[in-house]
Amino acid sequence: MRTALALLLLLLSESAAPTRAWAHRLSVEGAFVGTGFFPTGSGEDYAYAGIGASGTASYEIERWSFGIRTQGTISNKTPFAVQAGEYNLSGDLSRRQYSLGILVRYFLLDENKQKRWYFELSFNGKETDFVGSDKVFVHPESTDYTRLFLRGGGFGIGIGYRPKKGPWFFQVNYELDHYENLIVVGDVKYLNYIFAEPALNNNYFINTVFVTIGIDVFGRESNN
Amino acid sequence: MHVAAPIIRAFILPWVFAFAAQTCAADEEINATKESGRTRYVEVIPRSHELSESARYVGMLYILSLGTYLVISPKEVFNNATLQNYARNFGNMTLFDQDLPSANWGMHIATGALAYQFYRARSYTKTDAFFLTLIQESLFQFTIETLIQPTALENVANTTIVGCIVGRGMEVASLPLLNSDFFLFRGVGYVLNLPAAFGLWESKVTVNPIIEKNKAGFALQVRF
Repeated sequence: MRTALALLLLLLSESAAPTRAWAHRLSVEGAFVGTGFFPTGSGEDYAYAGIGASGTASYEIERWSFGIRTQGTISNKTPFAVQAGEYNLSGDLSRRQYSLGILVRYFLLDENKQKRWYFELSFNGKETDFVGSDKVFVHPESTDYTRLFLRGGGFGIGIGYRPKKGPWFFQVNYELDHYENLIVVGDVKYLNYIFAEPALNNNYFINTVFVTIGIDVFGRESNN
Repeated sequence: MHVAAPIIRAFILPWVFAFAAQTCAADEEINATKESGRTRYVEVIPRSHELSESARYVGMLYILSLGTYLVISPKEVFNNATLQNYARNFGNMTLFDQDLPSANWGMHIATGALAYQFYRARSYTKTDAFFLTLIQESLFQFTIETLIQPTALENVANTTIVGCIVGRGMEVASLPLLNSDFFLFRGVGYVLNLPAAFGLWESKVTVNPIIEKNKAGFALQVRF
């Protein structure tokens, strides 16, 4: 904790300096993402698509960038079937998916030594919130409202491009996630857990492709 | 956490701290209704801050958020806020909570945007405003909210990263509106930039017309 505080203070003091090296700075990006899911495994047999938004804060040091990304997407309504222990759940629902991940990027330099193309590796935690799950699946122990979640995580690889002009960037990511927990929450007001199954089938993988159009919110030349 | 808590945090707390901050900084404010000229809002011109000034802002907002939380969630605080609960909740820190999307992707972002705008209004750089928003949110999550329930890192990321992105967007959009001649546009500008509505925006330019015999022009006056 003390180290983290010291790091924060260091970054703050650096950012207060009147001049700042372009290659050594905080970068904050906002992005719209389009997603395509290509599920495999025994629990999911349908492909679906969605849209969403993400925000990334990263610290660039020379050709490397280390960051944190939060992402939320919502996808169209499709059937699902999940077996978790003794529970066999199925329905026709759209879903919100939340992701929180850490990432590292490596930039390639063009002929003008500008950072244009980059590769990305990320590790993500994921949570899927099925929309309207109370309408198709009512757990007998729930009180007045039931929500259904899948939780898991995985890794992603991506390639991105920053055009020469403007703050925009474009990126394509592939992610592989393994969902491990099924959580049913009743009475949304107080969010009581009803049960959590650690063994969600034996093999519940989801492949996802993300197409991202983003903007470097803090600008690339300066953070002022 | 009570469902209404993030809503109240988003809409009540920023107004309260805006009033308080205005009081603290009243001696630094310029008169926005100068008879001789018209005040125009300009992009933040960062200035250096003493550590004591930053600490004063962070401490003030923290105390206000604590007070607000006590007011809106008295039962949860007085029934559950024990050191044992705090230790247990701190140990059960999670990536995601199951709060409604309106909280995690609505109110948290709104509070983050307002905190970011507040610090920008006090002439911090974008980077400094980002880290101060992070410190503010971390203080709230890991002390106040952890008393009641385990903290979700998703909340910290959404408030800080996406909040700053949204706050910056609103800031950029508000400046031309605030300088508009049409009162409705100015009204929208103040809605998008609440700190400006409370006179907290330091980077203003006063335009004083000069009309004398054989001479016409204007003088710009910038105050921080």
